[in-house]
Amino acid sequence: MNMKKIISACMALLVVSLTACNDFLDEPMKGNLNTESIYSSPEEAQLAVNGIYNASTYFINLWRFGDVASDDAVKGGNEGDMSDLNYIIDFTASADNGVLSEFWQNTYEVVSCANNVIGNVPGMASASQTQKDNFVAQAKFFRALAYFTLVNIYGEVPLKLLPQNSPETINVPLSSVESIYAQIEKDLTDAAPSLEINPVEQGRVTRGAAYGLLAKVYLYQKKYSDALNAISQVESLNIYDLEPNYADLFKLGSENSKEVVFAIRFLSGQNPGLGNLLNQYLAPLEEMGYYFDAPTQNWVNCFTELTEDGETDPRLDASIGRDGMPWLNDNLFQASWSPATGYLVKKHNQPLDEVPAGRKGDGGLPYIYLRYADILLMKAEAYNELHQPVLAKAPLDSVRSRVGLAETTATSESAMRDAIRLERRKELGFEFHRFFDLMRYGREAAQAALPSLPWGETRYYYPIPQAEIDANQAI
Amino acid sequence: MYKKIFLPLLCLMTIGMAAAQQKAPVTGNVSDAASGEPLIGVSIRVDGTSTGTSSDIDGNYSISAPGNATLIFSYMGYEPVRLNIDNRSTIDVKMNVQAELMEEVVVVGYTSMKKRDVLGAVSKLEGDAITALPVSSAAQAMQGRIAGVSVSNATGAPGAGVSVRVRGVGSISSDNEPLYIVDGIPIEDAMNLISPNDIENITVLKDASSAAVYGSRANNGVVLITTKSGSKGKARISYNGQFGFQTHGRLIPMANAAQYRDIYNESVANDNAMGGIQRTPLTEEYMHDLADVNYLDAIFHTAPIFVQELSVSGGSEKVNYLLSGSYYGQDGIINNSGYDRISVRSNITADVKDWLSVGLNLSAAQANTQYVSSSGDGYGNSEGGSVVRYAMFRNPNIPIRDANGNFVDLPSVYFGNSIYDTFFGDSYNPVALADNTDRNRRDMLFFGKVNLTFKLPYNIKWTNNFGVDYKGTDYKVFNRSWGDDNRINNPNGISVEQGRYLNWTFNSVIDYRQSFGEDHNLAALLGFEAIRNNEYFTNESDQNFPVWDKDLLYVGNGLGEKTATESEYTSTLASFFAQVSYDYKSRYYVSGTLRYDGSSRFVGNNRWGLFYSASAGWNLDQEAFLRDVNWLNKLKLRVGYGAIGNQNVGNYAYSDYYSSNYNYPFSGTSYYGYVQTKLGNPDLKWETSRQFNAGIDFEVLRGELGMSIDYYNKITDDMLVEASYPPSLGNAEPNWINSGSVLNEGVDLEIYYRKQWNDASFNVSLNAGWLHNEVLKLEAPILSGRVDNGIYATKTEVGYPIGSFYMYEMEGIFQNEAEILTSAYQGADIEPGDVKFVDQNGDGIINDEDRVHLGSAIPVATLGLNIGGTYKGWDLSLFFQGAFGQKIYNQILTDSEGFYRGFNVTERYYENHWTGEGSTNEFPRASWKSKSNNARVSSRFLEDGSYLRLKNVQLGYTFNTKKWGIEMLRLYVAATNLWTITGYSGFDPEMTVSANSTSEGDRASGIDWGTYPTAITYTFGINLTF
Repeated sequence: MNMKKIISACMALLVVSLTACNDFLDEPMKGNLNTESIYSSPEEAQLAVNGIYNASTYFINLWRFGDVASDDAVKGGNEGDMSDLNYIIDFTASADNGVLSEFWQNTYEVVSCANNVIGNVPGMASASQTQKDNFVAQAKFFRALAYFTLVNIYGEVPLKLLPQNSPETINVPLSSVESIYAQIEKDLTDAAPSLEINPVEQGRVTRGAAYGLLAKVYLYQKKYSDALNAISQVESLNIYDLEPNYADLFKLGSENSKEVVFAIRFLSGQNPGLGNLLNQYLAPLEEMGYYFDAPTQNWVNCFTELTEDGETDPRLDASIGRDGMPWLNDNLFQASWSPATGYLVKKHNQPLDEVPAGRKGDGGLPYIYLRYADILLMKAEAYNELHQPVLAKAPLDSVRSRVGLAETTATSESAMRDAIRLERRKELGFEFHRFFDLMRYGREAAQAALPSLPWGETRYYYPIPQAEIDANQAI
Repeated sequence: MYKKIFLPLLCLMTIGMAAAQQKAPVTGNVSDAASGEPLIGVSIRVDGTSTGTSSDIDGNYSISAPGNATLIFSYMGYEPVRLNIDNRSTIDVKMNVQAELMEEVVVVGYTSMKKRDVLGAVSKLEGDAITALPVSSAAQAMQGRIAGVSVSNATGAPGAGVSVRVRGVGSISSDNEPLYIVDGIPIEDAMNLISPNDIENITVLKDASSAAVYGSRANNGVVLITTKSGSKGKARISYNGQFGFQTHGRLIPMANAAQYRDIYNESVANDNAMGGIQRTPLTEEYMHDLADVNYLDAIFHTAPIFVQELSVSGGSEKVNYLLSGSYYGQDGIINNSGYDRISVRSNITADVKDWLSVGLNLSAAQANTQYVSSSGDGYGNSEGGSVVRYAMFRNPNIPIRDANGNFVDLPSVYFGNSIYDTFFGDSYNPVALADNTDRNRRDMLFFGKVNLTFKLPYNIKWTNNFGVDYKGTDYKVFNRSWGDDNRINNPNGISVEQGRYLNWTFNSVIDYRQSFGEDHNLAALLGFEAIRNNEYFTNESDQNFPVWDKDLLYVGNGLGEKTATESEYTSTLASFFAQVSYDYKSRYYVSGTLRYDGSSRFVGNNRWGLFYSASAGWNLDQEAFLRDVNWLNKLKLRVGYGAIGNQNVGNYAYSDYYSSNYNYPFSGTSYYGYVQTKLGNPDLKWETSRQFNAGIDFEVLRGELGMSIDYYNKITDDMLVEASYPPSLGNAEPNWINSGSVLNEGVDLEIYYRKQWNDASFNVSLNAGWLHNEVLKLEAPILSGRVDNGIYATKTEVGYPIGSFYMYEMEGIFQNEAEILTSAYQGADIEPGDVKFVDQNGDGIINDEDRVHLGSAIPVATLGLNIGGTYKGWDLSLFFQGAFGQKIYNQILTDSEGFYRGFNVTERYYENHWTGEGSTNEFPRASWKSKSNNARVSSRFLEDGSYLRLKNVQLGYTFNTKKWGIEMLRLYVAATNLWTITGYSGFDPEMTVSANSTSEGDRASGIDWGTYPTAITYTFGINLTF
C-alpha cells in the first residue's frame, strides 16, 4: 500500500458516505399527529373539534369576574389563596395580575383551537362539504364566545383569526371593541345555519346556542331589534322552554333540560378527568372545598318579595347556602363555613355521594352558560329598551311565575327596567353574568352597585397582561 | 526470551536476599546530573524492605543494607534510580530530571497526546480523586475538582440527577449538559452506568480548540471518561469496601407548638382589628390534647451506605484484561428513598497481529431508585409536593399518630371539631406522606464497544470503534389511597413507564504522525462518525386495586379504567472531521480542526453545519534564553479560537404536534379530543458558539509548584430557544427558534504545590473559576421560575445573566403611620409592621414597574481546595468546595415566614417579628391579611447562597504488607459534607433545583422549594490489592 492508494480509498469512502448520509439523516416524526396528518381525515379532524370543547371548560372560571367583581359575591376562600383576586374585586389589578394572565391565556387557548379548525378544515379533500361546514361552525361558535368574553373583560384585544404558525399570525395588534364585536356577530351568523338543531351527540353546539349567544351579543351592544330577531330565531326552533322546578336546573343531569340553550358539560370518574372543579372551589372546607365566591348580604337582600303563597323566593335557597337551611348532604348549612360572608354558593355544588370519594373536584354538574330564562329576560329587556314595556311584561312574568311570584306591577319603561334588572340578578345569580350586566347597564348603574369602580372614557376594562405587551411585537 | 531468563533470575535474587541478612553501612552523595547541585531529601530505600533514609542538606546519606541488596533512590521530579550495592560501601548517585513527568498523556478528541503538546483548555482528573468520595456517580466526584466546571446535585435524594456545567450556561432553553464520551463512544447516561471505581481518569475539554473535533455537540464542553484496563505484568486483584451511615445536617429551627399558638393568636388579633373576615382566637379551653412535634426531626433518620468493589486485571505480552464488579447501596435519610446499583465490566485488548489490535469493552449495570417527592410543591411534575416542605408546614400541635398508632391526617377529624380548621391548616402529614410513597425506578444499562485498530505503513493508524449503548427503564408508581376517608390518591392507581434508549455509534479515524528530520513534527487526523439514537416509551396505567398485595399490584388487576400510550423518537448524526497539528522542535505549535456535521433534527438546507478551530502554543522553557534557568521547569503560552455547534433541541422540532387526552363528554360518554400542544419550525438550524481561549502554564522548583491560568470568552449565537410568544398564543408550547446570544466570560485557575520528604509528603491544589454570564441579545424577555399562578421570580433579558432574579426590593418595615404616609403608596391596607418596598422609579406608587434585577443563581466564583499529606503509613486529606456570589430565592419562606395560613413558622420569625415601633426592620408583623403585601416576590426571601463546604475529610493508614504477600492494604475513615459555612438560612445552599421548573432549566435554578437536603456521610473503608 502506498499513500496514493490510501488517499483514494479514503476519498471513495467519503463520497459514498456523503450520499448515504442524507438518507441516514431523514427522520420523520413518529407517533404524533401534526397539522398535516390530523386534517387528513374527517375522523381525525373531529378529534381537533372535540379539543375545542375541552378548552372551553375553562369558562367555569368566569366566576372570578362575573360574580366576584360584582356586588353579588366576594372572593371568600382562605385569605391567602388566590390573593390576586382581591385586586380584581377593587379594580386595582395591575398588568401582572395572575388571575388576569391565566384567564387571558386559557381563553386564547379556545381561540387557538378554534382557529386551527377554521383554518385547516376547509382545505380537507377527504370530508364532505356538510361535514366541513359543521366542524367550522362549531369552531366559530367557540371563537365568538371566547372573543365575547375577552372583549368584555379587557376591551381591545388582538383579534386572531388564523392558525398561529408564523410571527405574523402570532404577533397581532389590538383591534377596536367595535371590530371585535363585528367579528363575533359574523362568526355566529356564519355558524348558525350549519349547526344542528338537535344533535345526536348531545352537548354539541346547536343552532339555538348560536342564535341565543348572538342575541346576547346584540343586547350588549344595545342593538335591541337585532337581539329580538335573534331571539325569534331561537324561539322558532320550538325546542326550548322553562324547567318547571327552578332547583332542578342545578342537579345532576340538568344539561339535558329543555331550558338549556348552551351548557359546558362535565362527567365524574373519568380518566383522563372530565370533572367540574367548581364542585370543589365553591364548596365548604368541611367537604374539602375551597369556599370561594362567597355570596354577599347585598344579594340576599334582593329577596324581599315573597311568592304568591307568602313563601321565600325558592331561588334564594336553590342558589346559596344560608345558616340553618338544608345543605346538600341531609345536613344544615352553617354560617361558619364561609368566614367571609356566612354564605356559600349552592348552585355548583353536588352531594358528596355523587362524586368519587376523595375527588371533590371531579364534579359532574354542567355549567349552564345560556338558558331559556335568560333568553326571556333578554327579550323583555330588548322590548323595554325599544320603549315597548308592554311587550316586555309577558316574558318577564313567565320567568316570575315559574318561581311563584305574582305578575310584575311595573308598567313604565323605567320601572320595567328596574324590574327586569332585579329579576336578572335573582334568576341568574352565581351564573357569572352579574358583573357583565352591570357594565353594559352603564356608568350610573354600575357605579351605584360598585362604588369603587373607576370609569374611563367608555367603561372600565381590566389591563391586558404585561406578558402580552412585552412579548407581542405588534402591540 | 529476555523474560524467560529474567524472571528466574529475579526469583533467585529474592531468595538470595532472604538468605543474606548480613548488613553493612553504605554512604554516598546524591546530586543533580546536569548541574551537579546536591539534592536534599532524596528518599533512599532498600528494595523489598521498610528500611529507608533520606539525603541531608549536602546531599549525603548513610544506610545499612545487606551487600547484595538493591537501593532505590527517588525524588519528586527526577527519574528514580535502582542500584545494586554489590558489596560497595560508597555509592554516589547522579539523578536525571524525569522526562515522563512532562510526558503525561492526555486523552483528547479521538486520540491522545502528550500533556506538553496540548494547546486547548484541558483538565484531567485522576481516578483516585474520584474514588475518594462515597458517591454514586462520578459526576458528583468531579465537583470542585476542575476549574471552570460547576457540578450540582438536583436534590440530596439518593440517585438524584447531577447537573454539570462547563464554563457557564451557554443556552437559555436547551440542555446545558456537556457531552459524555466513554472510551470513545458518546453515552447517554454515562454517570449511572459506570462505577466511579472503574474510572482511570476523566478529561474535560473546556474550550473550542480542544472540543471542536467533537463539533456537533461540544458546545457545553466534553467530558471524556477513560475506564481502567489491564496492563502487562502480574495479575492484580483489588478490593475496595466502604461502610458508612448518613445523617441529616442542620435542621431549620421551627416554632414549637406553644410558640405557634402564640403567633397564631397574635395574627388573629392583628387581622380582626383590620375588619373584614373575623377569625376566632385559640383560647385555653381548646389547648388540651395538643401535641408538640418537631416534624423536620420526624422525617429524617440515620441511613446506611455500603460500597463493594472488586477488580482483577493483568496482561501478557499481547493481551491485557480487566474484570470488575461493584455494588453501591444507599438508603435515603427520608423513609422510602434509596438507591442501589450493581455493575460489571470487562475491558480486553489484544494485539492479534503486528498490524492489528482489537479491543472489547463490555459493561452492564442495574440501578434501582426509590423516590419520595423531594423537591417542589407538586406543580408541573408528577411527584407531588416535597416531604421536606410539608414537614416545615405541618402545625406542630398535631400529633403524628393517633392513640391506635394510625397516622393523623385532617386535624378536624382527629380533634373531632372543625372550629379550629384555620388554626390547624391543611398541610399533609409529612411522615405519612413518605410512608405512603411507593415509587420505584429500575434502570438497566448495557454498553459494548468493539475496537479494531490497524497499524499501517507510514506511521498511519486506523482506528474503528463501534459502540452500542442501551438503557432500559421501568418506572412504576403505586399511588396508594391514604388519609381520612382515603381522600388522598383516590382511587388508588398504578402507572408504569417503560423506556428504552438504544444508541449506536460508529467512528473511523485515520491518525498519522510523522517527524521530519529532528525538528518538524506533524500529526493529522481524518475521521468519520455516524450516530443513531432511538428512544421508545410505553406508558400504562390502571386504577382501583381492591387488594394492595405487592405481588398483585400489576396493571390489569385493577378494577378501573386502563390506559396505554406509546411513543418513539429517533435522531441521527453524521460527521466528517479533520485535524492537523504541527510543531517545530516542541517549541512552536499550531493546530487546526474542521468538522462537518449533519443532524436529523434539522431539515432542508439547515441540516449541515461547518465548525472549526485553530490554536497555537509556545513552550518558552525550551527557548535558549530560558533553558538554563534552573528553577523553571515549564512555561507555556496557549491561544485558541473556534466555533462549535449545538443541536440539542427536542426531536422533530421542525414539526408541530397534537396531543391526545383533551376529551369531552357528549351524551354522557367521554369522547376523544386532540389539541395542538407544540408548534414546529422547519427553519431551525445549528446553534453556534465561538470561543476564544488564552492560557499560560508554568511549573517551577522541579515541579513542586505549578500553575495554569486560562481566560476565555465564549459567545453563543443563533441560540436554540423556545420562542417567547405572547400568552395570546394559548397553551401550546412555542416552537424552537434560533434567537439571541449569550456571553460567558471567565478565568480558570489551577495552582498546585507538592513536596516530598523522606517519609512524608504534602500537597495542596487549588482550582478556582470566575464566570460572567450575560444575555447579549434576545427577542423578548422570558419570565421563568413560576412561584404562583402568573407570578415569576426570574426574568431572562438582555444585559443580565440567564435566570436573573427579578423582583421587588424590600426596604424595611414600616415602623409607624407617619412612615406609611410619607412613603410610596403600596395599597390601601398597609399598616405599621408591614414590609416596605423600594420605589425604584420614584413615581410614588409601588407597582410592577418597581421590580429590579437582583442577581442570579449562577455563582460568580467556584472553588475547590485539596490539602493532603502523608507521614509514614498515615495519610490525611481535606477537600473543600465552595461557590460564591450566587443568589437563592428561598421560596419556602414565602409560607414559613410569609405566614398567611395554618402553616408553621420558623423560630427566627417567631422570635424576631415586628411587634411595635423599633422592634425590627427585618421581619414583618404577624398578619394573614397583609400577605399580598408582605409575601410578595421580593428581596425579603432572596438570600446570598455562597458557601464553603468541607466536602470530604479522610484519614487513612497504609500497612507495610510486603511480608504478608499483599501489595497494599489501606484502612481509612472519612466524612463527607461534614462542615459548611454559609449565610443561607435554608437547609442546603447546594440543593436548589426544583422539580417545579425542570422544563425551564437554567432560567429557573436557585429557587428553593424545600428540597431533600444533602446528607452528612461517615464511612469506614478498606483498599486492598494483592
